[in-house]
Amino acid sequence: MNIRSTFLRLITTALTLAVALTAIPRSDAEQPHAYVMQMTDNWLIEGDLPEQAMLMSLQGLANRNGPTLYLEYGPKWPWQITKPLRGFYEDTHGYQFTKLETAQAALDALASSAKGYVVWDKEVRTSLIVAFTVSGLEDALVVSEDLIPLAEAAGLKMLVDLRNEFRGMPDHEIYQIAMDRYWERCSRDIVIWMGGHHGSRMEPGMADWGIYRKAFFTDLSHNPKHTEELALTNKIYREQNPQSYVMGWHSYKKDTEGQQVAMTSSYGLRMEGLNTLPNISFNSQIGFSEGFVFKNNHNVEPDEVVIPEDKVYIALIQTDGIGIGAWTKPGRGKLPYSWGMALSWVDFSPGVLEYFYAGAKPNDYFIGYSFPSYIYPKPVPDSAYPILQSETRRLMKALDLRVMDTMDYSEGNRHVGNTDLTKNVVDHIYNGYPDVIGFTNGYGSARTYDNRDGRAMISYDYYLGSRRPKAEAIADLEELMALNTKRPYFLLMHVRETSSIDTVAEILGGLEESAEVVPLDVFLKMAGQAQTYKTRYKQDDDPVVRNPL
Amino acid sequence: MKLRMNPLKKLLLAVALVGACLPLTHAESDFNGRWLFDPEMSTALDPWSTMAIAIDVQGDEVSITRKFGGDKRNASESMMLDMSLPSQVVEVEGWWDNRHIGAYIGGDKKQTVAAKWLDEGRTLQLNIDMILETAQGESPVRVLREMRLSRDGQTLRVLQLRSSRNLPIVRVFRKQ
Repeated sequence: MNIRSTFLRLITTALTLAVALTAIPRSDAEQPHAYVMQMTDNWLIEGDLPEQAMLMSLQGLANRNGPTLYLEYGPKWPWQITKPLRGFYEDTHGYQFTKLETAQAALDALASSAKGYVVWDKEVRTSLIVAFTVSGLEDALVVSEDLIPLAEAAGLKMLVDLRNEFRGMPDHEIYQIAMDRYWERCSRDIVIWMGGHHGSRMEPGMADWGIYRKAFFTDLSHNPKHTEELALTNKIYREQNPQSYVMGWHSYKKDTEGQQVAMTSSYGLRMEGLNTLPNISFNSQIGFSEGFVFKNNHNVEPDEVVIPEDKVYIALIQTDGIGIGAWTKPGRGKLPYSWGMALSWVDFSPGVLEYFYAGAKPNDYFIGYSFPSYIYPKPVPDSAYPILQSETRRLMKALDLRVMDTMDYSEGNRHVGNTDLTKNVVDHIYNGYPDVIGFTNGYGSARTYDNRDGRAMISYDYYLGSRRPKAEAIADLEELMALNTKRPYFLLMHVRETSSIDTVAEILGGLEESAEVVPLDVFLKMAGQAQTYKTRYKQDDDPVVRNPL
Repeated sequence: MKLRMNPLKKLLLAVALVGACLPLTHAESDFNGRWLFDPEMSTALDPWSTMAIAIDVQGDEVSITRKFGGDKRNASESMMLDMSLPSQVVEVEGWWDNRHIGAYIGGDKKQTVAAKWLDEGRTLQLNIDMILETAQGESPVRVLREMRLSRDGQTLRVLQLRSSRNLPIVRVFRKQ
């Protein structure tokens, strides 16, 4: 054997390989890749809904093979972060996205993730919700009749045909049939409430996630008037795993948010909205970028004592969902602002949380919630508190959160009834969260106040609605200052997500009496040192309105 | 000098006197009915989206019910007033005038109301003393509420000053 020629052959082979490797674009060789597709703002049954529902089912199925398909939503979609989030994935996670321009192109690329298709009936809106369940269980693309040729052209065969199956039936009959057929095979960890808009429109943003997780889909009622539907709703909740997820949203046609969340809370289940929350099947698979740790913009140390002056202090909070509204609007960073953080996203959308933390400005402060998901504390059975609070502590610690918000619409809302906490609930909260430096309560104004060992619980004194004229908002705040004559006065303000921070700044700039806007952790620390508010819990004779439709 | 009148003149005088009294009686009863909120002409009502006032005048007794509505949520405040009294205490269901702020009816839900007819019965004026409960406790508040009827009896303007608020509130209602 000629050693020299062998050596030369090895060198030549190595050089050839090196040349070959450099010929492949660097991105193809090293960057993770996914497809992206643009959704329209037309979600009508006779509009773009059928094709977009098909693409969502394709997304759920394709993403079972890894984060493969990402959907971007239009300017009218409630969650406004799909475009900037994709940019974030590109910049920090190195993702390279290939645009799919048509449904045909999407099927050409990804139809192999499906084993066939299920046909829903455009005459029966609820059949689409059932079709989502079928999709997850049977790996079926969701199509309306007019999309069958497209599915067939992609090599898919019909697995289930729901045309003419449900015509003339009320929803409770349709869902009874669906439960008889599919319930046993569905996940007990997640059920999807595909509610929200009704009638000729549906916005099934969570469809991909439910399909990905083989969830049962429904929009059954929580309204006591709908006894047949309510019986099925209760059956689902009873048979879910303890502390499992109810994801999506109630139907605006059938019941109210208060009715649904009061019921899920009474079962100790974890509500996660909204039905429009997009791309979870993708986002759940995107971890944190290398070296990332959550770091909140704390303004005080946990054991620090802050003594207030005799003046008005204002703190601003937005809790409607960090991905909707003011976060993406101009003005952020101008004022100290607190943002309610979705704790459970640590587990199913970690990369999204990183996006928010990475984009936070010094004045942005994140806060947690009294439970790991959207849960009203009053209906929660005492026995469910320990495990739910343990999970909350884990998530609060992971996200570097020290302030906790709570809300309870089980007996009222910001118009009528009460949104206050019983002493028993307040005891649970204080005892369950010894590391939290302070608590806030309400949504609209509420009147639960406490202070234990310098840890204040302050309810919202003001709700800034998005339609409130500036002059009236200024008069509202000045009226509160006139009614609360002692100083310091701690005025906690909840800002609706659709109100921009610029608008808030203009309102506060118009106040006659000097008021200082401070970060929430500073606000609560001071409130813990100067209790000018009266300790109050929900009283037995407080009005109760259970949010009827 | 003794005034002497023939029967026809007496009748005409009587008619004239009754006629002179009519506008007063007529205007007060013109308050009767249901009045619907006109958002275009009024101070913002949010968070409520609808409001109606039902008024029933029966002699000295005046019943006023203000109904607030919005997005499946409703509240009402009703009071029965005796106009022969200079002042009276009424109990109300709640204080719904501004549900954006943390202020609630206090003082056992009792209000002291001084009510009177003004402007030949075309204005019903209420001076209300009440207690609002806030984060820091109870706070006394004065309300001056004038309900003014238009000449044609089809529009009711409700003007309100609250001692705690720097802006007046003007709401216009149309007869249903």
